[in-house]
Formats: sequence, C-alpha cells, structure tokens
Amino acid sequence: MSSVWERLEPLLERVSTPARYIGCELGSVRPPHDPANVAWLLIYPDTYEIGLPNQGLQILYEILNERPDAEAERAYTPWPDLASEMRRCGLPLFSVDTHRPAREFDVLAFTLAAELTYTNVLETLDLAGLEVRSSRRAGDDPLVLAGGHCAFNPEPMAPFVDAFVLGDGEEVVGEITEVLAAAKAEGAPREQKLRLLADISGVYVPSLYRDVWEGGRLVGVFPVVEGVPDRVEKRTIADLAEWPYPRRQLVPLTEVVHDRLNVEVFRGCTRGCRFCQAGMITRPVRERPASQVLEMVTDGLARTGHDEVALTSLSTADYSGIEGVVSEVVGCGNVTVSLPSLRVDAFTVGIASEIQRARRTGLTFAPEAGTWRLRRVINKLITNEDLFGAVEAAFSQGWRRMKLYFLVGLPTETDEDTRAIGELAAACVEIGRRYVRSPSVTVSVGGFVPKPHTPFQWFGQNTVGELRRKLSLVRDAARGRRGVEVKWHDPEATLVEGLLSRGDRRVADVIEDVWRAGGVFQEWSEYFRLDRWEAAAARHAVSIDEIVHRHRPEEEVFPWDHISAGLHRDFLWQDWRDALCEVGLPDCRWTPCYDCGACTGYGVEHVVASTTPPAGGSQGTGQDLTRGEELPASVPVRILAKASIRGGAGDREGAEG
Amino acid sequence: MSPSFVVRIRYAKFSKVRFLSHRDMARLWERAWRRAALPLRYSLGLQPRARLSFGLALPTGAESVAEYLDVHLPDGETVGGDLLRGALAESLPSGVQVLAAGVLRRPSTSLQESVTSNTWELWIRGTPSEIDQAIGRFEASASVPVQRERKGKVGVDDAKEFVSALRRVEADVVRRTRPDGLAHVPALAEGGWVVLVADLVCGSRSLRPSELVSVLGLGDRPVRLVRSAQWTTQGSRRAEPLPLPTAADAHVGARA
Repeated sequence: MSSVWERLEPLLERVSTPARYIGCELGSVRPPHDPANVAWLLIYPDTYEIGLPNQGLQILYEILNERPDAEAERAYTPWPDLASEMRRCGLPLFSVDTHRPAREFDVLAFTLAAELTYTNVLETLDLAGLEVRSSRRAGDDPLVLAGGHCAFNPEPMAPFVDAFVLGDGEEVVGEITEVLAAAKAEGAPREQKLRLLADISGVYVPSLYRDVWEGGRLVGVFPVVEGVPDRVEKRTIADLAEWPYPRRQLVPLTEVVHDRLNVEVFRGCTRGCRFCQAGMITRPVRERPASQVLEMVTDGLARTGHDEVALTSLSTADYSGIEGVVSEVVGCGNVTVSLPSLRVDAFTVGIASEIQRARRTGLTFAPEAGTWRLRRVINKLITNEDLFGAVEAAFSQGWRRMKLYFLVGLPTETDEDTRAIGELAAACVEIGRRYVRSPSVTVSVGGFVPKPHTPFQWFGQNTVGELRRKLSLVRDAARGRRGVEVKWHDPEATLVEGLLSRGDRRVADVIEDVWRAGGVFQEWSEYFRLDRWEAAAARHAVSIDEIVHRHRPEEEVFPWDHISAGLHRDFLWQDWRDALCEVGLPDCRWTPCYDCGACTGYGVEHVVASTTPPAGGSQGTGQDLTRGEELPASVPVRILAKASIRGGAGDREGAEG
Repeated sequence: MSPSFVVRIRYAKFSKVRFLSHRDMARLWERAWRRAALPLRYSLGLQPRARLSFGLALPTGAESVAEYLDVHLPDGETVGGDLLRGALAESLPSGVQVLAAGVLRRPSTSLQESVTSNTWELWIRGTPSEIDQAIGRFEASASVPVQRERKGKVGVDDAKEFVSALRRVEADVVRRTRPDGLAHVPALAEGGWVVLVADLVCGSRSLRPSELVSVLGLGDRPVRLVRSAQWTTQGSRRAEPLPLPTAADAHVGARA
C-alpha cells in the first residue's frame, strides 16, 4: 500500500489548518487495496471544511465501500499554500483516508455542487498528475467522472470530464463499478470503457457527442457514435427507505461547516418555486418513513456524540407528520434540532420554538421577493399574512434575531418590488419592538441566476450594474432603520455563475484559461477576480453578454437540451408564461398532477405518508390566493403603504391580526 | 449538598492528530465523552456548555505524553475505572490515548492555574556538538532578550527567567522513559535528530518552546516538539497533576 504521508508530513508544518489533510475522522475507512477492485477517489473540489459535510459524497463513500468489488476514499482540493508546496516537492494529490496518490485510483469522481468550483476541478486534476483535457489523457490514467446538480448542464466542463452522472447516485455507482470491474479484468482500453459506460442509464459521455453550430447559433449536441441515446435521462431512486445512508456519518476532527448530525427526511420538492433548480431536477418527493428517520437520529447521535441534528430536505416543514417526528427527536435527550429549510408561517415557528427550548439558533426565512405580486411570479406563494405571522410568532416566542433571504434580478421585478425588501425588513423590526428590546433582522440579498431545467431558463440575467443598482435600492430603503442589516453576494461572482451555469462547450476554454492564470477557489472572495474571466472570454470570442444577459426565444436550442431531468419542455414553457401572468401553481403533492414529466417518464411517483397538506397551510394549497397581499392588523401599515401592491384585492378591514 | 467530582485524565497526543488545534481537541473530547455515554456536567444558562477544562494549550503540530483534562460530573455522580477504559478508549481517534484516569473531588484550582512548569523535548535536526554549543551560549549569557507583543505593544523579556533547566539527552534514553507502547513518539523518518530537554516555567507569562528554539539560534532547522511532563508545585516539591500508573496499578487505557 503506497502512502505519501511521510513526504506530506513535513509540508504540513508550514501550511494553514493542517488538520484538513490528516483524515482520521470517526466513520472513515481505510479500505484494503485490492488490484481487482474498482478504486474510487471521491473528490469535493473545494476546501475540506466545505466538502467534508457533503452528504452526497458520504452516501456514495459508504455504498461503494460496502461492495466487495469496490473501494472508495476521499479527497478535497488543497488550499493554495499546500498546493504550491506539493508542486515544489513533486507530491501528488492524495486521499485523506490512506494518503494514497490519486493516480493509483481507477476513478476520480467529482461532486459538482457549485459552478464556481469548476476551476478547482482542473486544479485538482493537475495536482493529481493528469492532463486536464480528457482527449489528452493516456490509457492507464484514472477515468474522471462528475455528478451533482451542476451536471445537468455538463457542457462547460465537457472537455475535462470523461463521464457525467445525472441524478441520484445510489444505484448507478454500483452499475458503473460492475462495468469497470469487468473492463479492468479484460484490460479493456480507455475508449472501450467509456463506450460501455455510455450504455448505463444516467451516464453521459461527452466525447461521444458533438456540439453543432450554424451561423453562430447552437443547433444541438448530437451523438457521434451509433447506439448512444440522443437524450440522456437522469437517475431517480424510487424509495428513500431503501437507502438509509449515511449510516456512519463522518465526524470530523476539525472545524467544518454544518458540523452536526444530518438526516435527510425527504428528497425532491414540488413546491414549484420557479427560480429553484434543485426543486425542478429532483422530483418527485420521496419521504423517508418516520420510523427510519428516528432510527437514524438515535443511532447517529449515539454513534457520533453530536448534540445537534438537522432534518434536511428542500423544505422540511412539508414532511408528513413533522411535528410528531421532531417531538420524538427532542425526546432523545440533550439535543438541538435545526430545520435548515423553514417554511414561512406561524405554524413552522411553533415547531421551531417547540424544539429549541434549550438553545435558540437563529431563524432564517426565505421569502425571496419583497411583494406578493413578485412572489406569485416566482411561485413562492407566501402571503403577507404568512410572512408577518411567522415574524410575529418568532419575536413573541423569544427570538431576537432573524435572517431573511431575498433574490434581486427576478423576472418582472420593478423598483417597487426591490425597495419593498428593505421596507419589509423594517416592518419586521417594528413588529419585534413590541416583544423584545433590540430586535435585529438581517437581510441577505443575492443576485438571481436563471438556471437550466427551470421555467426561468429563457430569462436574461440582470447585468452587474443593474444588480448593483438594485442592491443600493434595498440599502436605501433600509437606511436609518435601526435593527436592519443588509448583506449581499458579490454581483460579479453572480455574473460568472451565470456564465458557467448556462454556458455551452465553448466556455470550457474560458475555464481553462482562468485556471491557468491562477484562478482557483473562485468561491472565495480573496481569490475571485472578474477581470480574469472577462479577459479569457474575450480571448476566446465568447460573449458573456449573449450567454448571460440575453432573453431567449421559445424555440431556442439550449446547450443542455440533450440532458433530461424528466421535465417536459412545454411544461417549463407554460410555467414561464404563467409566471409572466403572475399565476401561482399549488404543490402537486396535494393537488392533481400537472404532468411535468418527472414521474410519468420514469415510472416513479411521490412517496408521502400523508396526502393532505401540512397544518399551517402549505403555501398556495387550499389558500385563497386573491388575498395574498392582505396584512395582519398588527403590521405597522404606515411602513408598508409604499410597498402595497397594485391591482390587488386587498380588503384590509377583514384582515385578522 | 452532594459532593461534586471531576474525572482527571492524562492522555497522549501523537502521530497524525498532532495537527489538531487546541479547540479541535476540546470538541473531540466532548464528543468522545458523549459517545461513551458517560455522565457530563453542563453549565447553567441559556447556552448550556459541557464542563471540560484543559491544561495549557499544546501548540498545533506538537506531540505529548502529558496532556491533562478535567471532566466535571453532575453533582453526586461518579464513574468507575472500567467505564473509562473500555468505552472511552473506543471513542477516541487513533493517536489520542488515555494513559491514566482518576476521580477526584472538584479541585479548587483549575489545571491551567495549578500547572507551574512544563518539560519539553525539542527534537532538532543537527549534530550533538551544534546543540551543545547553543546550550553553552545560552547558559553563558547574562540575559537573553526575547521580543514579545503584549496588547499591541512590543516589549522585551529575558528568556532566561523562564528556563529552569536545559540539557541535551540521548534520543534512545528519552524514548526509554516513554509510557508503555509510546517509545515511537515522535516517529522520525531518518536520523540526524538531537534531543534538547527544557523545563520551562509558566505562569502569567511564559516562554513558548518555539521562542526558545529561536533564541538558541536554531530557528531555521526542522524541529519536532514533544511535551513530556506538566508539573504542579506542592510545597517545595513538584508533582504531576496525575502520575502515570505504576506496574502495580491497574493498567488504564491500553490499546492495541
């Protein structure tokens, strides 16, 4: 067994946070290295503290290591201080589990969860001693795979990745292992391995496809060999109950984000928020049975020694019987429960207050838009009554701080909508004053990036200048309001995210140039530099404006049209038209099917314990949407007068406080 | 009032986990204690915190065969030695090893307050004569200035005030004094290492081992650091907060 530990150890004396590189976590394994096995190196292309908690990677790590024909280890992108030491000493990328060099693995598999990590994929491949472009790798080089949400537009990364895996990974990693184990035993050449992988449902091998252009417009991405599918479909596991992973969640020895026990209570989401790619590409909803959730919580707490558990999903308050589950979890003893994705209503706050008697973590709500009109456009059907009811409930039950998340740059947004964000926050603080001494509301504002496979994929993203202007509108509206703090994401990074998420194959040259110029860790503000991206795009005649800011016509061919999340294009287009007409669409968990395609195409369906909407009203279901802008009597109306919405059926007399 | 007890633990930290920080160690012990399902006292208040107290922080990257921690138990509760051996040892990562443990009445002074000096081994790449010369120069100087930053101000202290003993010891002699099974600490790939053993006093102010290395003029060399003892003062004698068990004692915490 080869390990680079002895050569690495002296370097760790000289770098920041050396504990990132030692492994040794509870739950980690040191799999025996058998040359007949398929050896996977699972890589999160960011720092250890960001990558370690990633649940997807941990699930695959366990599933693969349980197989007799596979072994899996983990790696993360070394911080630049270590990377330069490694290059100086000729030390290759290594796994943190056994410090085995990356080249000794059969597969390097990347999690692509954020577009700004793309240059780090190249950095990591280079440190591993591989050519960054697939076409230049040799027969015995490891295969480079990638999965995760970003794989739903693989084109910008197509020249660097041998095969993309779409959708849920639990089943498909086993199929890939079987194919590669057989190919390895036969000594099959690289091209043959890739051709075999392309026969697995959910696997996209970009070198077997070509992008065709005419008059500067993409005609499509088409197969260049017989027998591979025109459209590659995502994989969906039918039932989460069959996959109670991770069973042995890793417990890090050093500080990481989300440092707690995480238990996934359901996968998928059908609230239908139109800006949300995750909700569109992970349908349908598959709930984990409550008994299994409890088992995973109790076992997990005992095994890890954590005193905090997060029940994760895209909207945990929608879990059937959430109240029962949380009260049982609280009964497990000295434990804090966090619900990272809270629905915005008083009922949800009631749950939060129930479970956080001991330790109050902050409350975070995501109304996403400042007015009811715009929330109907984006289908985040939170009525004003929901929102202020939640805020009032939170302050009255002892919270002093809360965070509100908003997007600016949404379709149809007017300055009135934008300013309403600041005014809304101020109104929340006013409500708070009745209950606590110094209430504080932090408004976090991000620029909206229209994502592939969403109804907003036809929409042109706001420019950096426009986003900046809107941020100052929010700041102006909140100026002089004690207790309101405004934070925002860098609009320049939002621009690059737009380029990478909707780009085509030509963008790969831009990514490579930026990496060669030293542009690593672009998610980190100390390393992000827009000028590198602009210079690289100019050098390759890639128009950022055309890819990012242009509104698309209905018939436009997208670079990801040959990749399928099951959604019918006409469903997405109709939803886009509905958005422009400010028509909300209730959740199909409790209403008839809209035939978006995600279930019917794959022969799967919702797995939910209860087919009635949760108490507190699931936004939009069984609610009178014509009354969405009514305000509870307790809201300081004076403040909201400017933000009241045109054309609404506001009947303020009838509003209940 | 039922009596309140602490479990005092002496442990070693070596190999890969030497790169964990002091804060990492605090979190690690708290989780290990909970995993072993041992009783634990929490502070009162809105944010109850587990009551664990540690001795002086070990620098990140250093190894030790003399780390201490006091775990406070709820009033009236105590734990048996067998609990400490089995479940706790299982809960610790490789490289963190319990050497001794005892239940005592809650002490009036914390570990941090009661420890008055530390014995450090500085494993330095070099020849015996180079190290002997450096020791000689240090001993011969009337004072050895060391620059300190205190509250943003630069001041100068005399390093000699903090060094109560300084000697070169043969590596194999040092390794023979290790607790059972720890003779390999520190694991060094190649030869050419010389061991300097220093007793450094600590109190409101102290001298860091790394500062000692640089005032000795050896700052540019590879150094591996091992803390081999912490001392409390009892009258005119010094004693360890928790001595290692002798062969006659039940052997605690032995791990394969």
